[in-house]
Order: sequence, then structure tokens, then C-alpha cells
Amino acid sequence: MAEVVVESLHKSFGAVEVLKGIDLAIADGEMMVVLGPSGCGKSTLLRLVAGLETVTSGEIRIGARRVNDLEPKDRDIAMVFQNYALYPHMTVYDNMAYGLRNRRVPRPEIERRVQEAARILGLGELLRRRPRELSGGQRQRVAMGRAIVREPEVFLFDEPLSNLDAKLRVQMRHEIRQLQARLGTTGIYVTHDQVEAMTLGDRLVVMNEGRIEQVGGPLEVYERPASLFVAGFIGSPPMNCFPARLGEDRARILLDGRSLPLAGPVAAEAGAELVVGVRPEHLEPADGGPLVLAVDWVEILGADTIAHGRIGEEVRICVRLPGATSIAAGDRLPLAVPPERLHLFDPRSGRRIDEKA
Amino acid sequence: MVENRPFLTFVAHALLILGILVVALPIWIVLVTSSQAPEDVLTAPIPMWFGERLVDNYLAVLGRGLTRSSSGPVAPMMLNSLIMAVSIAVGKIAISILSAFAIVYFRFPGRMLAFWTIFVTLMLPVEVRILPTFEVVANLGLLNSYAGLTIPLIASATATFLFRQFFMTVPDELAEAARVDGAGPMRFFLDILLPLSRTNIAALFVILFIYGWNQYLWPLLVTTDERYYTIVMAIQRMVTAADAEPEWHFIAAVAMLAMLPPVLVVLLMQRWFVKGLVETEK
Repeated sequence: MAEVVVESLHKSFGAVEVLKGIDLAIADGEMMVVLGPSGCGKSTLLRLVAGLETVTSGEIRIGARRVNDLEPKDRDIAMVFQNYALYPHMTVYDNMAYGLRNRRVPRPEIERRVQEAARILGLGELLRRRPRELSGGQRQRVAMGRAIVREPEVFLFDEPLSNLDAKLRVQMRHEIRQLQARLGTTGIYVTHDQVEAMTLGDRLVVMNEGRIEQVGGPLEVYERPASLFVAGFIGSPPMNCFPARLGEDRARILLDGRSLPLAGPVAAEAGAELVVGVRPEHLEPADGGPLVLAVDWVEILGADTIAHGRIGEEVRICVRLPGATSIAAGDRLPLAVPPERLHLFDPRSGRRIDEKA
Repeated sequence: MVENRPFLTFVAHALLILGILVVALPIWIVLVTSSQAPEDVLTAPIPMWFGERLVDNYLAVLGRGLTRSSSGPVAPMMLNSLIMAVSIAVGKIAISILSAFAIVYFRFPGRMLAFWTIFVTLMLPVEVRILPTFEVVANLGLLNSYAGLTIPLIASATATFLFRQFFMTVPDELAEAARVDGAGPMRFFLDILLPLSRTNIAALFVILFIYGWNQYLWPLLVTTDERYYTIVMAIQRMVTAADAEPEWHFIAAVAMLAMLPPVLVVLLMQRWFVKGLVETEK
């Protein structure tokens, strides 16, 4: 068990700076999910913690140890790879035992740990099989087993579920979460799938272009996105964002001559240009609502319906309505927003504008 | 072919049979010749069916050697050829797989230069560098020794390129997983890369064994002591026996014997080829 601390971490590949100063503290036993689009540096961050890449500058600590210059095997970590990276010529048993043998763990102890891991993961019947005789989900479990038997301080997951089909992914997600919680091992989980991130993480790190955009609990990230990037990245369909102006009393926004009240005065100058964000699921149909959506396209998904359209001339938004509704293209749908569901961002920095303290 | 056209099927079969005849007929003649008495070989027409001396002729060449061309028995020559072929095959595979391992998995200055230098040696057959190589081997005092027969032929990394291509198809994650599992570079090589390469190794072994077995010019140059003669070069010596008719019935038997081990290696290793094709490990 150990905490993982990353301090002003930089990583460059040649002239390309992939990580531009990452500061992150992961508590002992916490599951931290690193989320971001491809190329944001999330995998590089994980590989730096694993020791598969060398640090350009900054510091990584696992427990109290500075691990910058340690080989992966000396860092007391275990990693689960995206394509599982099972040794194809070894049986399931040998795959799990290999790391322990290299560590000169006594044979009865290896036997005990592998059997234990096989029991936890339901692999008992498969120990004599080779990876190619296993299904995707089973291979995933073996990769997990290989990590568990090491009894490491930290689990590192590099998009471990992205090669599985949707149904299996939900199941494995649940299993990974339970397993990590039960073992109480610190975990770092890299993914680009926001559903995985929301359901698995104690906390999320949202990364973009080598920087951390926001660190916080899943709900916090959803309800109070710290930047326009986070607002657009978390949530599906993504948050509607459109320009507006702050009213004179700083407690309402003006949009095409219409006015929307805010929950309270905000920390920006009166009359300032803003970007307003509102999630599709937070717009509610309301007779006489301040926003009128000219619907031009409807997606009926069964459990809910997504109506796309325009407000005024320019602004395109979409609305998520529960159930199958009778809305059709060409309808005009008046909408209201609860004031606390409006998010305001600075159009230049992209940062969130908070209520006045 | 996919279409069902009787005429095309006929042509295809005819061509195949013709091809087989072209290859098989000379072998048949040699086989038949090796079973004849000496006087029957030289009388026209050439015999097309077995004579009575099959077993006698083979026992004679294996145990006694040829009488008129004063060649020794063939059995030790076959042993020499075997030693040479196996040493060359094993040596080349060992050198190639290690150099490919270095080139693919380690970053060192001049890595690509090293690779291309190795690659260029592929373009130089033994015959081109035979004089300097002979000089070196002679100066090292390796004439008339197994070392002299094999080492100069081992020292070209024929298979490096093949192993390099294979290693590049092995996912990087495997190497990384091994690193996390605490395997150093040599452990990774021995425990993971080598077992994964075994079908490639088998295929190369066949090719290199035949290459080594069929070496003719080099053994001819570096051996003057009969104890180190290989069977392929010995055949030539038998044919050019001084002032006497070549003993064709014996020579044919020796030729058949010389053909046997490569054929055996191919037949035995074929199972591995098929296995390599069926099993898609990685």
C-alpha cells in the first residue's frame, strides 16, 4: 500500500513535449482514473510511473521512495496492458508465475498465490491452457491475475478494457472495481472512455495536451467542470456551449435579447463576454421558457430522445428528453434551465467562472 | 484453380508431371546405376531397372571406399559433412538471432549502421571473399580442421534480417510486461523471444543445414587431409581419379548417400513448418 506522488513532471520525446508539468497526489488505496483524448499524454504519464519511460524532469514517488531512476521491477508496481501482453507460449499458470519466479519467490508460495488469484478471478479450470485458447474476457482476467499475484503497492491499468465487447466491458469494469477495493491497492487507471472513468474512479484526472485540466471526484467533474475542455469532454452528448454576455447585475446572462437568471452574482465584470454551458439533460421543456429550440433533427434512442436544433440564428444545441417523445423536426420547443445548471466559462482562458465568494 | 475446366486441369497436371519427371528421372538413373555391376553401367543402353548389387555397392562405399580412385570409406566423410552442416546451421542461427536481438531491442550508437553492415554481407557470397578468407584461415593455422571448415561460413549473418523482421512483429508490450515482471534482457530473450522464434529457427535450420551440407568449394580449398574430406567434395575427387575409368556404380551410390541427409532433414522438419503455419502464436 502506498501513495503515489507526481511533482512537476515533464516528458519530452525529442522536440515534442508530451507532458508539460504534471502535479498529482494519489492517496493510499485510491483508484485514480486518468481520462483524456488520445494524444493527451495520459499513457505516457502511466508509463513514466511504471518506469517504462525515463523522466525528463520532475519527480515520481511511490510510498516514500523516489523512483525516478528505478527499473520497473524495483518499483513494486504491476501493470495491466491494453492488449494484455500475455506470454503466448506459456500456460495461464506460468504467465502468472513468471514474475514471481524472476523474483525468486519460493515455489510453494508461488503455488499459493497463483491458486488464490485463480480462485478470485475464476480461472481455476484454465490454469493449464495457453492464452490463445482463451476468450478475450478470460485473457483480461489472466492479465489481472498476473498483476494480483505480485501483491504490488500500485496497480497500473493502461486502457485494459478497450479490446473487449461492450457487455463484457461492463462486467469487467465491475470486477476490477471490486477487486481493487477489496485488495485496497492504490490504482492508476488510464482510459479515454468517460463511462469507465465515472464508474471506476474514486477521483478523475482529466488531461488535455500534456496538462491536467481538472482533478476531482466523478460527480464533481460532471457538475462543476473546471474548464470548457472538461465540460465538452465529460458527458454524452457533450455540453452545449454558446456565447453570451453577463448582465449588469452580474446575476443574469443576456442571449439574443433574452435573459436567463443565474443562481447568484458571479466573479466577472458586468457586460463581459462569456461562454455559457448547459448539459443536454438539464434543459427542460417548459411552456413560455426563455429558450426556443427550432428542432431540425431528432434521435430516438428508446430510453431517451435527443433533439437537435437551433436557438436564434447561430447557436446549435441539443436536448436530451426522457422516454420516446412525439417531437419531430420542424417543431418549436420552448425550454427552461434551472439557474444552478448553467456553467459559465471565460472565453479566452476557457476556465470556469465561479459564483462570487 | 477455382474454375472447373477439364482442359485446364489436364494442362496443369501435365505440366506438373513433366516437371516431376525432369527432376526425378536423373535421380532414378543414379539410383539404378548404384545397383549395377561396373561392366553393366558402361554398356549401352543405360539400365533403367535395378541390378543385383544394390546392397553390395552401398556396403562397399560406406565401409571400404573406392578401390581404383583410392578414396577412403564414405562413412567418415558423411560424418564430416554432418559436423560441418550442423555446426554451420547452429552457429549461424545463434549469431543471427543474437545480433537481431541486439539490433531490435537495444538502442546503441550506430545501430542502423550495424544492421546495414550485416545486411551487406548477405550480398557477398563465399566465393567472392574466398581468397582473403583462405589467407586468414591459413594464417590462423585452421587448415585441415573442423574449425577451418565451419567458422568462416558461420561468420556471415544470413538470418539476421529474418529474425529482425520477426522480432519487429512481436508486440512491444511483451517486452515491457517482461520488464515489469523483473526479467532482464537475457531472461526476456531466453524465456520469451527464443520460444516464440522456434518455428522460425526450425525453418532456418533446414535451409542452413542444406547450405552447409552442399558446401563444395570451401572444403575443397581448406582440406588436404583425408580425415576432413566432406562427402560432396569427395564425389568430385572420385570422378577425376587418375588414369582409370571412374567407378560410376560406386560414385552413384555415394551421390545417393550425399542426398540422403538433406532429404531426411526436410522430411523431419516439415512437421514443424506445418505447425508454424497452423499455430498463430504471438
